[in-house]
Amino acid sequence: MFGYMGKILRINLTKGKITEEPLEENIARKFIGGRGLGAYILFNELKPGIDPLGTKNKLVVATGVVTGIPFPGNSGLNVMAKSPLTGIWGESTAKGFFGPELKSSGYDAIIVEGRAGTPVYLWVHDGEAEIRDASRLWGRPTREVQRIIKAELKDDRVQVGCIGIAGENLVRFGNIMFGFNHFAGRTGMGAVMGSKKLKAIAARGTGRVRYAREEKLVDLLVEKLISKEALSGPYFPDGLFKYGSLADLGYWQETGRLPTMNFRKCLFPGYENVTAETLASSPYVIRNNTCPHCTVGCNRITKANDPYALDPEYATPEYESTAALTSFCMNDNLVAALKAIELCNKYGMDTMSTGVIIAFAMECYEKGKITKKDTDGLNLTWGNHEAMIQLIEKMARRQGIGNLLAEGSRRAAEKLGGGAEEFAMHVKGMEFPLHDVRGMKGHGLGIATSNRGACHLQVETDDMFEGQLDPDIGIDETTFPKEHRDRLYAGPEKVKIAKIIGDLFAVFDSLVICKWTVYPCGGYKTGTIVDVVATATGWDFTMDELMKTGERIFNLCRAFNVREGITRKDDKLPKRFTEPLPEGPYKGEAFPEDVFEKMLDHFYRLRGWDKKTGIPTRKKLEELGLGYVADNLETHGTIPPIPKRKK
Amino acid sequence: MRLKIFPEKCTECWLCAAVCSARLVREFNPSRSAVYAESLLPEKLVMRPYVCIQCDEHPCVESCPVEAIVEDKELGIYVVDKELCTGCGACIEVCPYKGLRLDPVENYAIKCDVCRGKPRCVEICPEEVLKIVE
Repeated sequence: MFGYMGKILRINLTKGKITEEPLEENIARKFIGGRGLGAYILFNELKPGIDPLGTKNKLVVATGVVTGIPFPGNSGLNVMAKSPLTGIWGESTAKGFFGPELKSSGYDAIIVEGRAGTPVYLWVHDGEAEIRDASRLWGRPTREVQRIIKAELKDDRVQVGCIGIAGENLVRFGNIMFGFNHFAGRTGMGAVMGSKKLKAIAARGTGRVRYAREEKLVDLLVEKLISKEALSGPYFPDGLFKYGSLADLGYWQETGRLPTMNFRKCLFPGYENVTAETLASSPYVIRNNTCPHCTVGCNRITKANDPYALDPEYATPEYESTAALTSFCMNDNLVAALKAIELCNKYGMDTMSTGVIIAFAMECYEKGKITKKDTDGLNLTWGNHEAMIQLIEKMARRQGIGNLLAEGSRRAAEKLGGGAEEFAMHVKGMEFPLHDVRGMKGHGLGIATSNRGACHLQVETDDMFEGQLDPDIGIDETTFPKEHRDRLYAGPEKVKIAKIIGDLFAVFDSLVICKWTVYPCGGYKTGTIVDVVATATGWDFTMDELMKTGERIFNLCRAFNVREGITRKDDKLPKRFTEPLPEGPYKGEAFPEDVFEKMLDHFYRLRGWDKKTGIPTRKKLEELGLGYVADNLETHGTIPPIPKRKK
Repeated sequence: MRLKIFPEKCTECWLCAAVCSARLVREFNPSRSAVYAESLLPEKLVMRPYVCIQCDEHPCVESCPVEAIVEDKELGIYVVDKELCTGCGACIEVCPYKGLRLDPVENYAIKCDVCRGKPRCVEICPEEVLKIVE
């Protein structure tokens, strides 16, 4: 088999046992890697209803078929488990050198089971693996852990993925840092590691992946992928390279949809202080930061002293994090937001969930649901960045009110009661990304139906699609004329785009490829990606197969969720979006429930899911080669058994 | 023609090494490229590439026991004649700029030849860390 190492490493921390098993080619082809492979493993091996922080959960760290091939946007892996934040499918991609290093060490994926008695870390190197003591690492911040491990293993080129104190303390959105500030950021994968007492995974390998046509692959990459022209798209080089992904913040403000004050506003009065242009012209930026082999350079490394001393090891701003900790909380001090990001990265905590939960807390405080007594004296008013930063310290340690907020906004709201649920911006338990979907109807549907809860990266539509087409995947001027791609349009054609993109992105999260480089943000053609897979593996891989594989993976994750109790009632947006935008160019625009429900009806129809429940039908699952999934759902009573025919 | 290095903005993306080795040996193998990146402490915060900068002193030429480093008069640069090179490593040791490396597969000294006129690393580097000067 080409393109893969053909082996999966399995670690049982309870028994201290390490085994290897093959990755069969037919499975690799059906599920690609990354999300697909993780979904295949976890659907089979996890029983529904288990505690995500208990011993029965499993963590899968999976590379994909193209991991290790050096072109921009390609350095990803995917970490998956049942999420402690949502109780459903949990996954988060991470970039950096760890994925390629893991593959070089001989393994396409690692499965971690059980729980260690005392803190440990995993050391994987050239076909061998061992469980090592991590007691002197426990309690330490992320970058320090990486340095200590490299010194202990006497090799500076070891790659390390690790958790900080947030993961150790089972903060439900605790995350994992790989290398230099590349995070498997969302859904609490770090908390799963923490629950297993697994502090870190270290990898080092000298192996090389074999490709079917290696020289042709080199030519293909040099010709079509490794050049600035190939990558040029609506966001690059302008925007992303010039200003970093933070450039989005100014765009959303100018187009009247900047998530502000927990979605109560859509324009931020202090925005000029926190734009990418302001950052670029400030003395804070040391240099750009980028992923391996990538020319996009969407990240930044910063340093400052006033009003907070920043540690450049951790203060790496990008759009979602910065918006969550500025406009969303009404904080207009940029350095304060960078400090908040630094702390989240140091402690290993999802910046997005953190910011959105702080905004939730601020609204609760404003409306008297929590008081100064609850906050240990913190004056949690809108824009109070000192309080914001102290709250982050508390959340990472589960101290005081930090213990409540570390549960996530959904659980915190349930515990507080008395209408606090109205202030919790989440879908299926995961905090909303920094996108105001009243001004982006397709994106709203996508976020509401993403398989990991409120996620803006599983199904992106709107704005970008107005200018970009990809005939390869059936999106062109005739099939989707301009009016159907308009950001406010909520008709059936927009829903169809959401379905197509959901399938396409399922493949990207399985390959694993960064979405800045491909359709619709970047210049890479989907057809070229198909060629890369075909050339690497030797498979007769086509566009049709790519899209079908994506549909299969999307349905498999849905089936996982359905088995955990997800139905139509959970595919919905926070109620706040039914209120109209209060100001700006889209003043008055709302996302009424009936408009959403109509989109959802059509979405289910296109996906081949039951209209009432949103559960994939047996017919659809069998069509995708997931008959065994239908059998499993039938056993669990979630899909009706095939009626017996009368003789 | 020679390369000049402006290291402050290097992001350790390693694309220079990828496109260089692709040209030299039709492989993506950073250990077989003429240009390579290295972290200075603290790791990942400060990086820089190393490559032959065609310096005026060229101690590598004099160090070679078999006179394998020769002048290419057309381009005004010094290059390694692979046929003559024995892989002894003398030039690699003497270079004050860490600009030469030993190819781990074919055991010869890898020395940048500015892609004979249109250096690919300069073309691809997103941060303009590598530039051509005459």
